[in-house]
Amino acid sequence: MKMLIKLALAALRENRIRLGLTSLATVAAAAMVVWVGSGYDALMESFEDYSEGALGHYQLSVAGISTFSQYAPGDIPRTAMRFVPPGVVDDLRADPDVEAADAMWAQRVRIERLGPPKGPPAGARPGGQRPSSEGAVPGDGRPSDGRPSDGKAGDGKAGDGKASDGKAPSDEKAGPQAAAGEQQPRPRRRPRRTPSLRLLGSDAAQPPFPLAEGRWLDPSTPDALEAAISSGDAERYRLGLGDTVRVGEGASALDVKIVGVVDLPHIEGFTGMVASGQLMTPSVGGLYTSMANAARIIDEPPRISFVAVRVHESADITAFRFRWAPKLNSLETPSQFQEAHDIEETLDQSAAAENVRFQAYMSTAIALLAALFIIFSALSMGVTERTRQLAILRAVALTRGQVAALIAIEAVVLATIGFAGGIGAGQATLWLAASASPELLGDGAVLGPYAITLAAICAYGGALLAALVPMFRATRVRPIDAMAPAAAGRSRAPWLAILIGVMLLPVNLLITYTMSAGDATRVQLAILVGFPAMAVGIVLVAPAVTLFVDRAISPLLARLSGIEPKLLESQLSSNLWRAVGTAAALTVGLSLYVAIQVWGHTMLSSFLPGPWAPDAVVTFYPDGIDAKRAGEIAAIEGIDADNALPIVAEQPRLLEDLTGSAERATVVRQDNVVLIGIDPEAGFGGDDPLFEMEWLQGDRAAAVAAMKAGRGCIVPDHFLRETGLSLGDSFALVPPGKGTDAAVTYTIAAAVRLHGWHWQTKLTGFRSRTHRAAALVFSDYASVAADFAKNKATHFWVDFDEADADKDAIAQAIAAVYTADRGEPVGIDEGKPGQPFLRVIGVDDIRTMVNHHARQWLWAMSRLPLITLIITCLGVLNLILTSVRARRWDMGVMRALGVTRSALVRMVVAEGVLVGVVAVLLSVGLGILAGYCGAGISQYISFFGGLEPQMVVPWGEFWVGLVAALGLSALAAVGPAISVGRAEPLTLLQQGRGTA
Amino acid sequence: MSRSPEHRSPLVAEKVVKCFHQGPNVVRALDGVDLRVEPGEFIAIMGASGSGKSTLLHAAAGLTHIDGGRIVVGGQDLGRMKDAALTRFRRKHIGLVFQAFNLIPTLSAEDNIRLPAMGTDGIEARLDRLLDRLEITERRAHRPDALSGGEQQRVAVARALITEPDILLADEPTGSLDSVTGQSLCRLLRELCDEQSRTIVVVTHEPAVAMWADRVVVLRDGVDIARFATDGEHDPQALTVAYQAALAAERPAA
Repeated sequence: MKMLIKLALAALRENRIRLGLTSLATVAAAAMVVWVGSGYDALMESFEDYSEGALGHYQLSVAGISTFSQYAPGDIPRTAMRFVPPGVVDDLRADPDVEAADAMWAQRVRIERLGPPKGPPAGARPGGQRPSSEGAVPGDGRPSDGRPSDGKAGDGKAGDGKASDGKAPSDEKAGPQAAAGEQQPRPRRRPRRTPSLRLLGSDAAQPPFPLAEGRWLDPSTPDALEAAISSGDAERYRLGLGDTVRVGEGASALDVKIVGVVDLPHIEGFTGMVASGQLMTPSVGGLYTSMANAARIIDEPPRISFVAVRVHESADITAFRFRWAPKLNSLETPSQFQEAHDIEETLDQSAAAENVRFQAYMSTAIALLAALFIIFSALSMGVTERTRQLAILRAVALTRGQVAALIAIEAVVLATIGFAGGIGAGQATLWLAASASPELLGDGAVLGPYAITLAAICAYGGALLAALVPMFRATRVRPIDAMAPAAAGRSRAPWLAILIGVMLLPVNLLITYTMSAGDATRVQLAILVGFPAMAVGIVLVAPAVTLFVDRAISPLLARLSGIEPKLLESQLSSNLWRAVGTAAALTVGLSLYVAIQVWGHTMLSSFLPGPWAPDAVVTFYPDGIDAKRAGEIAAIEGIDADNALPIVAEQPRLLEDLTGSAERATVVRQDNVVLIGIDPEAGFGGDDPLFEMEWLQGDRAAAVAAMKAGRGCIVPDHFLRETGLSLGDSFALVPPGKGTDAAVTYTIAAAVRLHGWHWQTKLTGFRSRTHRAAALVFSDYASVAADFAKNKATHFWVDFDEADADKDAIAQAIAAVYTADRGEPVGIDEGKPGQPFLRVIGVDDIRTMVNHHARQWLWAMSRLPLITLIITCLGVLNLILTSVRARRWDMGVMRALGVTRSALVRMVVAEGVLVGVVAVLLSVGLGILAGYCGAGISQYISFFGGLEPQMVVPWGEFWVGLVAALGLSALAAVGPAISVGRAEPLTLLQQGRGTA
Repeated sequence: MSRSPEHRSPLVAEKVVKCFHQGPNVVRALDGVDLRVEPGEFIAIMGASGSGKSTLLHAAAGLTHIDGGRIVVGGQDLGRMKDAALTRFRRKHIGLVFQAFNLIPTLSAEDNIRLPAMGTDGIEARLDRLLDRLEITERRAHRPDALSGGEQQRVAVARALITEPDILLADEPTGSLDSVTGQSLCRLLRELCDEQSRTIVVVTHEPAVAMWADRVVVLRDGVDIARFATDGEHDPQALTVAYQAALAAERPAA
């Protein structure tokens, strides 16, 4: 073994540049894993610290048993809606071991400051809490970035609006810009929503956490309009003792005075905040008030989200839990205890933490593949170059196994350098980032066991996998080759492997799109079989692509470069596997980039409002405008007079869970719909209807007729898929606030394609009841208005008469109509507390906003692949250096025979470009296939699936990646090219003699 | 220490056939060659280029499989051994010297010599003796590219002898050396045979090398056509005459 190690180290030392480049690439790959993995380690550390303090002065919390499945970030988990039966509080208090059992009700509410701001400026608190994107509370007279006010954002007079009973005043005095007629034109800005925090209703006698300032709520006066706020929220929203905030919305909003600031445990980073927000512990609170106040604000009878329990010091908690567990499990809402370790486990298993963990796994997989192909390429070059040496070793000393071990040792050495260097480089870059741009480390960074383990998997896994083929090749070297090694030449194409690769490539397509299987089976098959088959397939097909490039693209590139095609001929195929390995390394990053872009834009296509959507929706807050004002609005300059329709919108629940949302909620599997009431003829009939629909089932005339007859409706195609309903079928909707016996039935008259309805309904206030809806459904105005007690038009859906209509002017004109309708001043985009206002949401604005956010998000996802692409370009440099080194004699002869320096340089650079071309072809194929299959499989696994998107190839982003790959490949070849170009012919001949 | 000649087995080649396929044609490089080399004997295999002499040596070393007949070294039929066993057997019982030296360029002279003895303890004294005997002690730490051709070949010989093999096989050992260095190497081989009773087989087409052997076997077109003993006087002229006579005797009449 000692001799083998000596041989391996000697071989690595022999080619220091290759060792350096390969090590550098492996170090970079491992460092990338350390970077991502450290976020998870930091998260785990935060969770551990946080869970220790999450219960405050209590030791236990009783909440509904978690049945969390997948849900969208920001959605309220299903368990949060399950409430603990009230009787359990008294039962717990009756237990002699219990010192205190306090019911708590958690509900997210919106808040507004009343009065001038107090307290220190908002900013990152010590410890690095993420500043809120919402910034200061509206009404505080300051813009959200905390800069001094310019005096235009608010009037600063709202503080006097506190009513004696705490209810929001309805006769708020108009401010300077309130009267629409008096308003000056101003730049439109996106409507800002008031911030929200978690309201915790409780009648606890003691504060759950130490008080930083002020006092705790007085349980003897539950109707007192007072609250305590968490220190984090106090700082974030610049609220302090004595401040009054309006809590809640609409008529139930309550103005409460802050009497105490509670010092809550703090959790680092966005992911930690999201994960901890799902807990049922006193630490989720932002604003604490009495149960009675909470009931008034939420406008529901008091409920219990969880019970915080403190037992006597003498009590045995384990025995207590054991005694109580069966009782809690058998409650109407099956419940359970949570201790600190349960909380930590909940946090560890939260979707947010899983997301970070998934990112860490993904980065490891990408880095492992990058390291694999780069090391494979380096080891392959080593075996090829040392065929004679290996033959000598076989002849005089080594068995096949020992030769294989020799290559394995080389791989382990490379892995060890990569691992150790990666840990060091990762730690160094994390330190630099923490010093210079801490915002880059969203979840913090701790070099812990997780990051180290993943880095080890990346480095050693990649290296050992990479060594397999070179090891096999080394064992195939015969002792007799020491006498006369096989002549080098064009490598033979492995046609059988290529054929197998071609057969493997479509497997994932078949699984995703054509196979008949259940959702879970299909997803498992795609993950376990489909995607791996695709990856293996592309590697097996890579030699064919390389040969194609060598024979078809190489002559073209030679001509473009102004060099003799013969000079470039067979450069790749003469060392086929070396070229394949390098191209495959580039393909790891590039194909992932392409796949992300194709997947993302394909998924996005379903969320961009399609051509069916009229130009704008006007929303009238709080409860609409008289529909008879339609004529006035239609007459406004800039609005298409024929296409300005009043509508009524409601978001009723389905009587039955037709979409199976209880089983797995998705963006189209919800228990409610958005129902629009509209004039059927003007909306869909006639020569120039407002909506230009793509009718997938049923036809326009029949749909309009059914709607006119009453309660006929048009639904999106996915609603039929998810519910299993057909044309002519009916479904029942429960009017909000009424019982199931008041359900009304609508009949499906047609199905249409409605791309982008989600964002239409989100930004326009159509979704007024819950975060999500299963469909956007159209029916006749009269039925919807009658069934859902809408005596005003909640919205107008309008077309503009020209593409570049002045939306600000239109908004001003509509505001004038609305002001006349209300008999009081109205705001635009947002109003003063209690003031009516309107919003004009243009469909182009929605498209722009969705596109902007989606592209930002996709670029964020693409960072890792693009970094990988840069890292793997070191492989190209390695390849070109080896190629140049092996051909120094040939190049010396060429120079001696009259080939110019410039031609030699162009020849070497062109070789780099050829490798890039192979990678581009492989990446385009694999990326499009993987992206398309990814979008397909998302229908079964993702919350955002179910819309059957059409494949979109984003050519702009596409070209960025492809040109980057070609450019980087060419750049990698420039150094060796210049080096060989500058050498004298004789030098090349002398250097080449040693390797010839 | 190596075993004495009386305890060693001879190298035996019986009706050895080796074919090479060149497209549709089959070339019989060895066509039923018989050869027996007694322990402690030094023989030279001579022949023109393409006569099969190197192929016979490679087959005797177990470097290539034969298509017919058998080769027995140290009582072991090489054709019946699996690759790993054959490698270990070759490492222990057969020393190889190549025309192109075939040293590992990344290792020092000493490490090159140690290669076949890897995993074997107690070779330090033997290594020192060999370095001393071959007069390369001063060069032991040098890499091959810092050695002269003669020094490289002596390192190769030392490597072949480090395991004290039963038999030393040398393929054109002087082919890359000048005549003076070549004669020095031949003298060394002769001395090894005489002093240590090594069994030595040298493949060469040079009478000046073959004259150091005890016996000469002549091959032509894969067939052993003649054998004769040298006179022990190390006279290249005499050996040339004998070699040409052997070739002429077998040459078919025009």
